[in-house]
Amino acid sequence: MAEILVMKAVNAENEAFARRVRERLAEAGVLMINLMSGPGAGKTTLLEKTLGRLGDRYRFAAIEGDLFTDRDARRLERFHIPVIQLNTQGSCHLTAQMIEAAIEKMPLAGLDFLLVENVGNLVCPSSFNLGEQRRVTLLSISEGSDKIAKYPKAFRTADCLVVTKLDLLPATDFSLAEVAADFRVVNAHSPILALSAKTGEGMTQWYQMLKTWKAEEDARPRVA
Amino acid sequence: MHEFSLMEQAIQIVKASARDHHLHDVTDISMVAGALAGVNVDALRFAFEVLKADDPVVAHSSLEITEEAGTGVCPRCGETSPVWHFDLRCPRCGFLPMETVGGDALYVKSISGGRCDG
Ligand SMILES: Nc1nc2c(ncn2[C@@H]2O[C@H](COP(=O)(O)OP(=O)(O)O)[C@@H](O)[C@H]2O)c(=O)[nH]1
Ligand SMILES: [Mg+2]
Ligand SMILES: [Zn+2]
Repeated sequence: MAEILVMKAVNAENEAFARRVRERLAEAGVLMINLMSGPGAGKTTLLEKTLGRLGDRYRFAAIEGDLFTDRDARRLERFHIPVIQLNTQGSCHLTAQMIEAAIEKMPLAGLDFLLVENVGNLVCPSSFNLGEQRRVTLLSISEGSDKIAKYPKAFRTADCLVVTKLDLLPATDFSLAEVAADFRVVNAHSPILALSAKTGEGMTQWYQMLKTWKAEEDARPRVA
Repeated sequence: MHEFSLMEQAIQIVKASARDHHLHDVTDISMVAGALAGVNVDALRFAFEVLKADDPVVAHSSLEITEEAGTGVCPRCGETSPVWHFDLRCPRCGFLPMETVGGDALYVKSISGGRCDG
């Protein structure tokens, strides 16, 4: 009998893929954003609006993660951008390995943004680094204000909290103040945006943040 | 239920390690799950029981998972104390949130088994 000390993180393999993805993105000057939320919070709708507004100023591509179907990819293809649909066949999250395989098939050179819509799930995707430079977690008004306390990890690791479907606020007891306070319990610095893709309220701040993030990434010295 | 894919990865780590150290079978696996790692330990155990049957190297292994508390350090006053996802306030000075320095990881700590050379 022998005892062997292993001391190896279970996500070590995913982290290795994530590092490779990040290197490829940095070489190509592409900003990848990982969007996470529960199902139906409005990720695809936000991407559609973003492509409609910024599509002629920046070059976008998208990766759509879903258990099954290519419905979301078809919604984004209408904007004439490269879109890859990843079907996880029952797995509740994307992995960096899936992203690496997808960007192999994608012309990265000349792209500004790679938008990744993760599988709708507030738990599992937050444990898998995809190699993204920015992570956005969405919470819709109709989900209720208690979700940050219930799913803290998805919010702890976010670079921005986007509260969606602001137009529904009058129809619910959702409290923006409560959500903002709960978010600060788990996340000290990341900005909070509240918007409605339907009415357009608050969308300007979202577009502005994307531009700022892109400028920040462009200003970083490229690794040779 | 990302515990299944995590456990698949853990078994890969166990097998690679067993191979590197010439273990022909693995009798015990010891893992550590941090309280902030976002995993459910019961779901991990369940996933292991389901998956182990597929693999002769681990088919007879028993798995022990030790839970590790989250640890935070206060960026303002330097206090170190236990933390939980939604309980990141410094108990000494009230600062929010403390930076987590432990309990974030899920890892394979050690394995035991019989060596091929006796
Ligand atoms: N009222 C309202 N509904 C929205 C808004 N954004 C998205 N939705 C609706 O919410 C549903 C789910 O949106 P979708 O973008 O597919 O969510 P995803 O699953 O996160 O990609 C759809 O019926 C959308 O029309 C919004 O700002 N206001
Ligand atoms: Mg969608
Ligand atoms: Zn303190």
